[in-house]
Amino acid sequence: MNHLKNICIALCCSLVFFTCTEETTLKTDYEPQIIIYGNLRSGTHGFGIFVAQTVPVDAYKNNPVNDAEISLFTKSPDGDTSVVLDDFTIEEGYYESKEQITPVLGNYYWIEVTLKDGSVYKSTEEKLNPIVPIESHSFIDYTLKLGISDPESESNFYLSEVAFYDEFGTIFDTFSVTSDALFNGNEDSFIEIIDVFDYDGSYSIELSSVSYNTFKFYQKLLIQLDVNSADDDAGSGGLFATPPVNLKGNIVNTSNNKTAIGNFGVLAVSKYYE
Amino acid sequence: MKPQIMIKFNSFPYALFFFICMIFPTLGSSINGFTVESKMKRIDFQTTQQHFTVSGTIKDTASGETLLGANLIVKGQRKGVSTNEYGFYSITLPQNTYTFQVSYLGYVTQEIEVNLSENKKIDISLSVDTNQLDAVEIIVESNSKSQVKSVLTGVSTLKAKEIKKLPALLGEPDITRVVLTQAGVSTIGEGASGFNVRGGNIDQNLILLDEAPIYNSSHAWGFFSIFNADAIKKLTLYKGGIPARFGGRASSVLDIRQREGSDKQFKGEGGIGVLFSRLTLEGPIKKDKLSFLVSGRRSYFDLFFPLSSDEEVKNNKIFFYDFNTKLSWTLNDNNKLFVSGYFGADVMKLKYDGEEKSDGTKEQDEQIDFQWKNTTTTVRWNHIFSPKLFMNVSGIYSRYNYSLSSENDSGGGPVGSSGSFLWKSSIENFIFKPDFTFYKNSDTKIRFGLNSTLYKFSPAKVESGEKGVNSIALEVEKGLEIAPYVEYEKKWNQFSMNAGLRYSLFSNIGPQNVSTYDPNYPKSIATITETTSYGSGDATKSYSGFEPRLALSYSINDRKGVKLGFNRMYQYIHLISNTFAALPFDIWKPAGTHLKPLIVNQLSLGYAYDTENRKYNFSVEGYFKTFENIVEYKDGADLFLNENLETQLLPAKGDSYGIEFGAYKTTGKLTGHFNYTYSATRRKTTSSFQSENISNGDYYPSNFDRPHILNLTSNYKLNKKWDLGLFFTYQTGRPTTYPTGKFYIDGTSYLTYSDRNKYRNPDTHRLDLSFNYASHKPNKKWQGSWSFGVYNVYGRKNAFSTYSTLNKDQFKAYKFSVIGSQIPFIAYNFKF
Repeated sequence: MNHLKNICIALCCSLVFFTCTEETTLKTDYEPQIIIYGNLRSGTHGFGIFVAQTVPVDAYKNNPVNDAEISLFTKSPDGDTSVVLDDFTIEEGYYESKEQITPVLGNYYWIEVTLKDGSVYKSTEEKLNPIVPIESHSFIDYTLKLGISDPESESNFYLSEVAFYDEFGTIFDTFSVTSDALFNGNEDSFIEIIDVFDYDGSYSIELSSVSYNTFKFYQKLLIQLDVNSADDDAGSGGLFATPPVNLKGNIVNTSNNKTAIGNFGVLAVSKYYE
Repeated sequence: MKPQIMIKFNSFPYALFFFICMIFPTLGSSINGFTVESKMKRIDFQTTQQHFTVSGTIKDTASGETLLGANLIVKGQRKGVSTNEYGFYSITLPQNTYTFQVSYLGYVTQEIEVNLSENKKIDISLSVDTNQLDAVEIIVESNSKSQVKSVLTGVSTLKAKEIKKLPALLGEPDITRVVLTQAGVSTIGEGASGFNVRGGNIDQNLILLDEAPIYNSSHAWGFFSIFNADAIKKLTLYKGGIPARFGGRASSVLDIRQREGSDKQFKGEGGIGVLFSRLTLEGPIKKDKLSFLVSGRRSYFDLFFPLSSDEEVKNNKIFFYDFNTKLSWTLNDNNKLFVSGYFGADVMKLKYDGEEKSDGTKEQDEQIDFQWKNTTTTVRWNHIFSPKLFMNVSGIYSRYNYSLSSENDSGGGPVGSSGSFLWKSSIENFIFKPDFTFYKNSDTKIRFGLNSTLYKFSPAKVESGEKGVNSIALEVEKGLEIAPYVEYEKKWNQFSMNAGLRYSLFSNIGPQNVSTYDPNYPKSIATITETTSYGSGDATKSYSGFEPRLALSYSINDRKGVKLGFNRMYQYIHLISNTFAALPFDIWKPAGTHLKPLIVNQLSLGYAYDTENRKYNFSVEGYFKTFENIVEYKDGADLFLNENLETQLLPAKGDSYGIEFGAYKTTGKLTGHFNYTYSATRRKTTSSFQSENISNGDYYPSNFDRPHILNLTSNYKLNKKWDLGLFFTYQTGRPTTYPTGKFYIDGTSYLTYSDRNKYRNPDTHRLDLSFNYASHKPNKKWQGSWSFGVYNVYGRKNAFSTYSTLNKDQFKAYKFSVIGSQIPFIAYNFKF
């Protein structure tokens, strides 16, 4: 009877067992591309931008671009435009502003990056939104739940990050992005970060109100992280996967209108430390 | 003789016919001897004194089932006619005595002598030729698969018996898989829902079950088609010459007709397989007048789950089922009524029992309930106005809907994420289709009518019981499509023509809010400048266009012919799906302010050749297609509950060309079909904002572009009881996108990718084998047969996709195969 039982179950579930994933080799060509990535955060901080060229898939370090010229611009709601920053220290492709700045609520910000070959990359103009405060937070079953009061007036997008520390520094961090499609204007809205660390030590939480462009960039980035972290299951290459996409955001090569890898984000950050 | 019919204008069919003639004012004058005199309220059918009409139906003697496409040939002359979709024929000839040769494959050919001195109604019954059935395994429309005589290009006809003879996955005869054996038809991969015809997306196929459109033709996420072969009489795939009576989809029509059920005797048939059991019952309710057919299938998945010792498996339910039904009522000599329906569903009920956590508390129990369903109802009325004028009026309702619900103890899921919710979505069609066929003479046929469809799209309604989550109802969209059409079919000695014209008009109807976007920026919710509200019944946007159809054929001689075809097709609804294979919860969206109708033009040219005894039939056909206003998706498009879906879409165009070779052998112990297709299908996004175009606005291969496809289907009669079935396919691997670089941000590595579909997966091939054993016992009512075999005989692991990972910064590539092993099957089929 048990034999029959097992055979019946095996037959019925057989479709699941027909699938197969095995390691293979890919013959691909290396196509170098420029990456430009950085975020301007609310509050008083320095501003950093990373510029590099992609490397072959079997390489293990960046190919930094250290000879770019970078400018950060702003535009007030009245239309007054000015250069905020154009003086940076450079190390391994990281451009760090020599002075701290305090972005102005409601102002638009953008960057221009000029490479040595003369090509100019410009981001779209990103607005600094009002901060949406973290009103509460709780950890339930490896999920961090952030209580907020979502503004009703317009669509809002959030980048939420959590990091856990010990005495030596960060031991785990993760992030998620959320649109308010499911809770627009709801006073009891909440945002969740799943699969967080189960840890009793120190941690920090940041909830940033971001633009649609930045939301989309991080959404793509999260999808790729999910795909990249797969071991050998078919979750990333199965029947219902979407075509892989490049992590292109809001920065465009002005000479050929091609979008570059990377993104320039303006983040209105609400923080919590414990 | 001058037969006259008086019109009563309160009689609906006549009023309708009059209305159609008003739409086509030229038609009345083009029909010799046919006039509409509204003042006299009279339709006057005249025939010349020497010409008379023979009409009637051709049926199976034993069951009374009408035979579709049966041939009536005037012996000794190059004249003849085929029965239509309802078994009706009509032929007009000069006064004389004739011998009609009436034939249908698998039936004894009859010769009938007719002294044609007046209009005559002759219903003809043909008897099954049991000897022929034994000898021929692949049964075809006529006695061969000859393409020489047919006018239309690119038409394939298959019957249930053909479908059942093919080796099938888990032994279950599958219509979609049989369609995939035809030249010019491809799929993105094993297990994917739908099929692609000559470069068209899967939403460009008009799949009709007794004229009702089917929106999701798959069970089990795409593994099996929803059509029960026991309930099917015949299917016709139009991929090239698509007559003007069909419209609404741009690339093909798959016209599936259900059986009517015997009006002579009660019968049944069924089968017990590894996956399904099925049972069909049919018989007369009133002999020769009223018959019924009911047919059902159900999968077995869940029936054995309770036997499992695993509590999680025990509590789950995963199954799918179909129910087909039909009533056929012969009211009198001139009126027939058909009522048919289909209901099918996939059900997944997954229960999760919460586990005890480390702190001693217990996770909450949760149940996910996911169902998707097709429902159709078709009511058809056949009316014979006169021996020359046949009418069918159809009223059709079609609905596809799905629901997804999550229930738990207190609204919070086991991982503390989403709480309880209920998500519903549906698409409904209300269709009214009057269709008339006027048999002017033995060489000329005129068909005209009107297709009218009211669409109702309910993309999503989500009700949440969780605090802090809003309930959401995306706007219901409605559309009305009206399409009058006319077909004119004419035969000369060696030259034949089917010319048609369809005019389609589509309006997207309110109530609806339509966003306006800043034209200087790509569409996104950040670039909405204003929103316009339209009231109930207001047309938010209308589109219209003429759809000419032309098919010409020239018979070089009795065994050689050339054909030319041209089609223009408009499609006013789009499937919104950016996954490789379509999902049951993909939604459809009508053309509107921000979404234009798809327009496809196709030019095809073919040559057909039969060997001297028609033992072998060969055909070669080339085509070129252009696609305007295809929907493509922005990189990383977010289609989830998106009220402004247009912000995620890109306009695109495309083209496709190919050449298809086919060879058939339909007689002898060895029968079969071989075809080879070479084709190319490209897409190109055409956004005015270059930065959002895919592959920088260059052409790229479509996801299902497979340049070389070779199919071989064969049956070999080993002896009276045993036969062997074989299917082999070889296909170029589908295009894919590979990594071309890597970079690090904050210590985490990411990949960059090539242009869309720049590379290809490995080529695929597969061999399936089946053995069928049938012992015909002429004196016994119960007839049983066994079918067993192996799907994917040599266990080929065909790549559905290749993908790469960067787990722990190690680059690895994987090949994913939907079916990676041999799959044996066994089934027992019976008839009584």
